[in-house]
Amino acid sequence: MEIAYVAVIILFCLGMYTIITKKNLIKIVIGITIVESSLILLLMLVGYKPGGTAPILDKRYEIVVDPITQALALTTIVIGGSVTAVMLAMVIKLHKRYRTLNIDEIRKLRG
Amino acid sequence: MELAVWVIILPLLTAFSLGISKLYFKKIFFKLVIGSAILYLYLLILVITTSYPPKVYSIGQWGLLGINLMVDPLSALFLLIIALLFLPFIIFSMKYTKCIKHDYFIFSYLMVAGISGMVLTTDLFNLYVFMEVSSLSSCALSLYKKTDRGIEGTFKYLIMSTFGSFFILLATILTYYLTGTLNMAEISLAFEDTPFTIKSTIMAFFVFGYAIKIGLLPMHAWLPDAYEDSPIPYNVLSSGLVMKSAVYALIRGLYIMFGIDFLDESGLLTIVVFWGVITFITAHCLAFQQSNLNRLLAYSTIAQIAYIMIGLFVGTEAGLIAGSFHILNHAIMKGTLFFVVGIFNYSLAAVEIEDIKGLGYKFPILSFTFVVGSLAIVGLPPFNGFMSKWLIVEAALEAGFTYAAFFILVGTFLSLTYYLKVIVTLYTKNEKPLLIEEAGLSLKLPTIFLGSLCIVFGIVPSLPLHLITKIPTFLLDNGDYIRILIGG
Amino acid sequence: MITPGILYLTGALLLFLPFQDKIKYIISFLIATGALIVTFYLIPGDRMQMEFFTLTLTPFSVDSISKLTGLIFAFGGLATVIYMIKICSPAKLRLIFVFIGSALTVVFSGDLFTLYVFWELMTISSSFLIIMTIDLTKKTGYYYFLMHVAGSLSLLWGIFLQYSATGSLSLHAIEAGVPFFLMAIAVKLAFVGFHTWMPWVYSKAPFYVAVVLSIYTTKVGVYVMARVVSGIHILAYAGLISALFGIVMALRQNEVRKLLSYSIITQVGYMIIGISIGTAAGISGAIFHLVNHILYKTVLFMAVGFVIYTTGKDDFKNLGIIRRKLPLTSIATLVAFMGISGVPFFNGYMSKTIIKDALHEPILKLGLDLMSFGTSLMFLKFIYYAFFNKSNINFAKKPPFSMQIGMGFLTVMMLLIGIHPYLLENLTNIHVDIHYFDIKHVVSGFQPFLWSIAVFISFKKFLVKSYVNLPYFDIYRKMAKIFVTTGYKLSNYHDGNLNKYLLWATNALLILLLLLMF
Repeated sequence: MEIAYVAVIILFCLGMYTIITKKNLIKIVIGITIVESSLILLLMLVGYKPGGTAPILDKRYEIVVDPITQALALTTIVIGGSVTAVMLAMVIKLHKRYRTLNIDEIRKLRG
Repeated sequence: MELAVWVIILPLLTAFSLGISKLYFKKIFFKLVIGSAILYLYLLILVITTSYPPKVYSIGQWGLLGINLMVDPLSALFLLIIALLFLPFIIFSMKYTKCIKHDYFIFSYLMVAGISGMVLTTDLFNLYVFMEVSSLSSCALSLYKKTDRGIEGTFKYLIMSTFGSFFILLATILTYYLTGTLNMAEISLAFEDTPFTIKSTIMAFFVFGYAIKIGLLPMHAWLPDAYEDSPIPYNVLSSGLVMKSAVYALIRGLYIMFGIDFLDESGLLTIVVFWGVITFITAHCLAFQQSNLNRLLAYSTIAQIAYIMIGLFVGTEAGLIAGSFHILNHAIMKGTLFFVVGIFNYSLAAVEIEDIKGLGYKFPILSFTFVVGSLAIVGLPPFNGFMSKWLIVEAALEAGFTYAAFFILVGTFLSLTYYLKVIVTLYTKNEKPLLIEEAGLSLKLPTIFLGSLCIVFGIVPSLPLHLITKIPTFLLDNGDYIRILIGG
Repeated sequence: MITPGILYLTGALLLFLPFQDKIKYIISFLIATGALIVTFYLIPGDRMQMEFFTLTLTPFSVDSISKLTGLIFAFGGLATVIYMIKICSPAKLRLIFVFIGSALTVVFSGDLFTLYVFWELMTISSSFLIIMTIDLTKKTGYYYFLMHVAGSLSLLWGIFLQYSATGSLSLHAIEAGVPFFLMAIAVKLAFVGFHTWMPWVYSKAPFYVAVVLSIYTTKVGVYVMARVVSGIHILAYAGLISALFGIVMALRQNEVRKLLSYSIITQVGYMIIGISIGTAAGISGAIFHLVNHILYKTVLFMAVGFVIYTTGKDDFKNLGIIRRKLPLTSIATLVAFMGISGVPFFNGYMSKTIIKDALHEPILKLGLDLMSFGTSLMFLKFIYYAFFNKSNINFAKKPPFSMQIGMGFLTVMMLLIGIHPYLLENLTNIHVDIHYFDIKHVVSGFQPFLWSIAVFISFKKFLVKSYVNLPYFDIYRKMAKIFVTTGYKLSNYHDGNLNKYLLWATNALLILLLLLMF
């Protein structure tokens, strides 16, 4: 259990580091997905109970994991997917316009 | 019960049916857009009038487990802003967007659905989802012109906004982990015996996440970038609604879940007031440097929202009233200004301050509207901005934030410097012949409507204050809110 | 209740309606006359109260001081409206109406909120008047607006301090935030150091705008000062310094209207001294001086207006046309000159005598004599160019008759007050126990005037010449420069680097966490 939380923290920090320091647009988007997966992992962990099964309400199963977090995780995945899709679409457009993926060269907006 | 639900469903439904009609029934597309907007306006008015005393609507038969919607005066204020801005926005956009308009309207309906969801829901995760809906569609709208700068600005906006969303999501998950529920009322009850440090960490994540979307000082840089080359009617909704919805979510979350006592105890009130002061002084300094009208107005938005934050976070009843009033007023004033700039942009592709030189004599009524809007936003009497600023300063003084009150007046002076620059340019004679595409009535009407509201709310402030004065009841004493929510 | 201020403001709204120009002129004339009549029949003690969101306001209350001020404001309004009815376009007339209306409302306001709102409205309308009319440079309007808004914000802050200290907004001598009130008033009445807007604006603006501005802007400041901060003795010396500064600067000017504006600073010095004495006699002297000053200064501005209208420029040389071609203006100018120099049997003498009588400190008395001397000295320069200097300037345009009527009104009023000083006292029931025409007063009234003539004749060649402009130093511009450079540096940090923006955000998060957790 604890090790999973450590994994969440590591993933989160790794993703943040990627977003903040990397210059490549694709890498920034990758960083964002990493952070997002870490959060989904956290959601799963929050609802997890040792030995629990899928949240099916039936008398045969005594321990079930929290169904709400599962629903939330699904929603988060959907949102994350759409955000990533929009971002990638924009990266393609930016690459077409600016002929580069380096964020340092995409700097027409100043002031 | 159905009415409040329809506030969210109607724009969603319209967005989808617009998508279908774009594919199969192109002829009825614009009729659908307008018709739905008018229907929506009617619906909003119905909901706003029944907002006091607050009502809770449970969706499905789940009770507190499921999603609950609640209309209280604060939500009603935001619905009122939607009501005031949305129809003018639609009418203006009909003419303004010259090429493909279909996607534009679909996204704007989606955005409004997201915002109305945000202001009605009482569920923390639901809030997050609706916020993502509105910010994604807002990105799509800001991208609409598909110019280099537009795409670049939107990309930065999206990255920053997602960055903020992560922290909001993180805070939401942690809250759920600690309390086992997502209903704000139950969270508030469960939070009572949570250790101070954990609570304040969660609060810090919330504040930080929303602060990015609000554009407080070091996180403000995306905002002018996103505004610079986006369709101007979108800017009206963005500064009037999208950013305000983040403010809404923040104060709703903080005041209901954590409670005013905790905010005071943890020092957040002091921090945010100080933060707001720094933000608006810096934003005013930066706005003076801008030569692009959109950027100038964007920086001014940052500053105005900082005023709102100060009002909302002095932590008294008067402060909440003042801040909420300024939310409404800022939406109106900024709407007026952006609409006028939009018409200038439409008529002669003006983007820089230099481009509008001499237009004061060409468009007398519109320029007058611009002058009214800018004087209102500067905070000079007898316009509405003055009334809310008066209230904010009074509240800040009352709560002991004398420095904030003083700097608000300094900020008023600084904001005059750049708005006056624009006005003076507007009334400078220009010898150059101008190529003007005549602006139709559908562009002028929304502009003049909002402009006249600036004067009306300035002279008769009791009109909106009638609604606004009820807001603090359900925020300062979160017990009332919780009782209503749990009881319903 | 119909108040004169509201009458003017409705007039401004009426002028928005699409009437013909002729009807608009008739409307504006009727409104100005109506306001004068309404003001005349106001009874001291009238009040009006209303509720305005959380405040209880008294937007209208009359006492003898405000009635007198209102009367002269309405009278000046009528005269100026007649004066410029032919020259001025309806759009500008609207702004002028808003300006006059708000000035009158300020005078009759009974609480600080109304006072502030209409004070600011005066600023706004007059600034737009300047911005819309000056074609050469808009900087003047920009500067004027910023300066006055800075002043009125200072007033607002003072009001807030007073409100939070006492919990009441009623207009009487204030208790808290005096420095802020003083600063606001100083900007409005062009106290030395805060005066920089005045010579600039009054010499750049079209002459009819300058006429209107000169009537109301500074005088409202004086009126409000009499209301809220009367009786601070030290200010009398400040007023003296301001007045002497005005004299020195006025003697150095090459433009007529700059001379006139610096002379306003001097005249306002009298009123400051009168108000700062604090006694009833002092304050009523100051207000009487305000009345007289409006009369003669407006006539002088109007006379210069004639010169500008007929010859196109306001050089000293062009003043010669007054003697050559404008007989009525010559009379008016002479009467105004006598008035402003405080010669007995002309109107300025009356109020100057009251103020002098109310004074007890010898330094101030001496200063007052010096001020009278300086004033008549600087206007001798004016008179010299108008009547004794040979010039061959000719008409470019003939002035319309309406201008002359407007000026004539004021001149007749001046003569009346000069010959029968009790007129003003009887009109408003403010009685000052002074025998104006006994030997002592008359002699002391004549003295500075005669001295100044002697000095002028003997030092003519130093006084009548064109001066080199002083090196221009303006502290407000320096402050503006700091603001601009700071903004420029800040704006350079926003170089579009996304990583940087994200780094800022992360730092903000860390700071926030640190602050909130501990």
